[in-house]
Amino acid sequence: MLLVHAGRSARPNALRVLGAVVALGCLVVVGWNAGSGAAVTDRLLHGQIRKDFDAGEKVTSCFERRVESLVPPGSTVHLEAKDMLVVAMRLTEVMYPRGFLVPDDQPADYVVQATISPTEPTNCDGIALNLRPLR
Amino acid sequence: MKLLVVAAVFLVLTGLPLATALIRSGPLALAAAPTCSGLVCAFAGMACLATGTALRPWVVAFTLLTWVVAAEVAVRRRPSWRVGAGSLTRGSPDAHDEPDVADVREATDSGRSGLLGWLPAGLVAALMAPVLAATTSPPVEWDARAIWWFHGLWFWQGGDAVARAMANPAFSWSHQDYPPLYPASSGALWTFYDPADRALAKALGSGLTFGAVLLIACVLVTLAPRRLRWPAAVAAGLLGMGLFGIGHGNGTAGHVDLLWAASYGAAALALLVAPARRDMVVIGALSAMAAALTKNEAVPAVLLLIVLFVIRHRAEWRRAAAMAAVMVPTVLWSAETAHFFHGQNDSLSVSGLKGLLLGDHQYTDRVPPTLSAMWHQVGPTLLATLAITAVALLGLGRQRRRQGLGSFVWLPLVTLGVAASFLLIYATGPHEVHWWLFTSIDRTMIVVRLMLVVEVAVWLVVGLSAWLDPHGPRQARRVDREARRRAESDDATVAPERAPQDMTAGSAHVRARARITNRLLRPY
Repeated sequence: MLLVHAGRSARPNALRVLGAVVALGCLVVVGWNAGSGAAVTDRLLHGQIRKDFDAGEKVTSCFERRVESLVPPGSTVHLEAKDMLVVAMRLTEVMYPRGFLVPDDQPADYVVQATISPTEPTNCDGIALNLRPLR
Repeated sequence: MKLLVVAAVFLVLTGLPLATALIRSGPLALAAAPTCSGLVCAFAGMACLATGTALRPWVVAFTLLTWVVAAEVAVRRRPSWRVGAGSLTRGSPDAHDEPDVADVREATDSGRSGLLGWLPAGLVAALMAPVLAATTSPPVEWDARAIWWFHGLWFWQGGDAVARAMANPAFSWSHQDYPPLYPASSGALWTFYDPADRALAKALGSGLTFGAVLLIACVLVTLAPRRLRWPAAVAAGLLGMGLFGIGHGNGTAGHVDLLWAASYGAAALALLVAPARRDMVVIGALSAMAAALTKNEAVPAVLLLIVLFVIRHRAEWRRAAAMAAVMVPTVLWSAETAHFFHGQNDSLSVSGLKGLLLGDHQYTDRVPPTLSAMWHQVGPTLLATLAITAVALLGLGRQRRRQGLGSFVWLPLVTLGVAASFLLIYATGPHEVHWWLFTSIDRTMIVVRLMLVVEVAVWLVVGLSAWLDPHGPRQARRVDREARRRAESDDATVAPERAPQDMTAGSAHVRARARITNRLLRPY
């Protein structure tokens, strides 16, 4: 309250100076964040993140092509991806809606097996996908 | 670039009608169009899930409905208030109602047809536009694929597919209960163009986020005196760019953390800081609704915002309480998820909250690492905001009130509340806390940092006003005094019961002017 009351008696010039100080201080904060926005954009376009994205895109596209060639449209599938939870998640959404993943306790048409096999010719970054019919 | 254009066309076609029907200022309506588009698609998504039908007919129906409403409003507005040199004249003689607050504000404050000119708004958008270049990176972000675009595929397939996916335990890692705004928007766009193209969904997400951030920036510009609109527009453009920086690239990667944070920031700025104009209340309501339909953690934050809005307008608390209506779509979505989804969600756990309050170590031990991680994310921004606020309060508090802005306590209160809700969620949630913090704290704290920087930007506008427009408030005081004197003399000469019949456009203007003056002067 004391600070607020101090403002009431402040002279116009003092207020102008205070306004300038506050505006410049705020501009530093806003400008610093704007610089960070420009830097983030630049990193996403040219930095290591972009290289990681491109590598991720390569693997995902490979999964998509493999799933398209293996899984018949409209089928229900189980997924076997031993100790590869992240790969299993990516495969689940890549397969959708071509292959609909169902829980293991429900019947499915096929099982998609993901194994680490860098020597397999059709592998995607060392992960091979195969299909086995269940019915 | 092509995908961004397609996304922008979709956002404008589906969102602009509703925005123009509800918001009178053209630039503000255009900035709000993506938010309105998201709402239209979210409503369509909820309808298709409730009925088990395709999404596309609902999107078309809701969009057509908004076009009809917009046309109706445009026709009604045609004999609109013509803004002259300091006076209001009506195009049509059958005047029953008096000019509303927005009209008077336009006439007396900006002297033009809108609160925010197209050119300053264009400058803001142009300064922010470079961040959209990042949208061209490949669509491989983890949460975007695993949650948002995956859900978008369900919506693209229709309501029965959404219901089937929500009930599927094999998809439990995908958080099937997450709200529908972004997924339904992606699904809706896919029903018209390039189905299941994740790059297109990413461009759409960037457009939605860009719109929400642009709305914050445009509202900020309207807070500046008319003579300072250009410097304020430059500051707002930098702010917009900075908010994308706070988002760590989230805004253009297909994530929704910056989207909900920006929608929430726009709502808080419009409802708690901006003068109580109709446009601002509408923008606040739409943005709050959009935030709550974008991410689950926005729900307690929006509830807090509504409570603070009612407290700010406690003199008219009954009318202010109508703001609670923004929660209706969220309640409907909750009812749908309660019906179709039977898994566990990440929201606040009641049993965990109880344990935390009773001092159960299972929960209390999670508080220190959470606080430490939160401080690591927001500490510098918090210190900068506190320092600026302390200096500003040495003399700019009155200046802030003279500009009709809400008290400096509102945004920090909201920020504190949101931070507290995250602390409780992390302390009582179902996941191992260190892993959970490691994988998410940078995204969940976006909203906290955003609110702090928005408060700094408000002080920037106030500081600019005190620095570059020092006579503005004095002139405003003189105009206010004159308006009050004229209103009082009108009251004295016009019998209250005859006032409606005798009221001329001029006296109605003066009365409304006095009313807005009183509102602006009220110490919130």
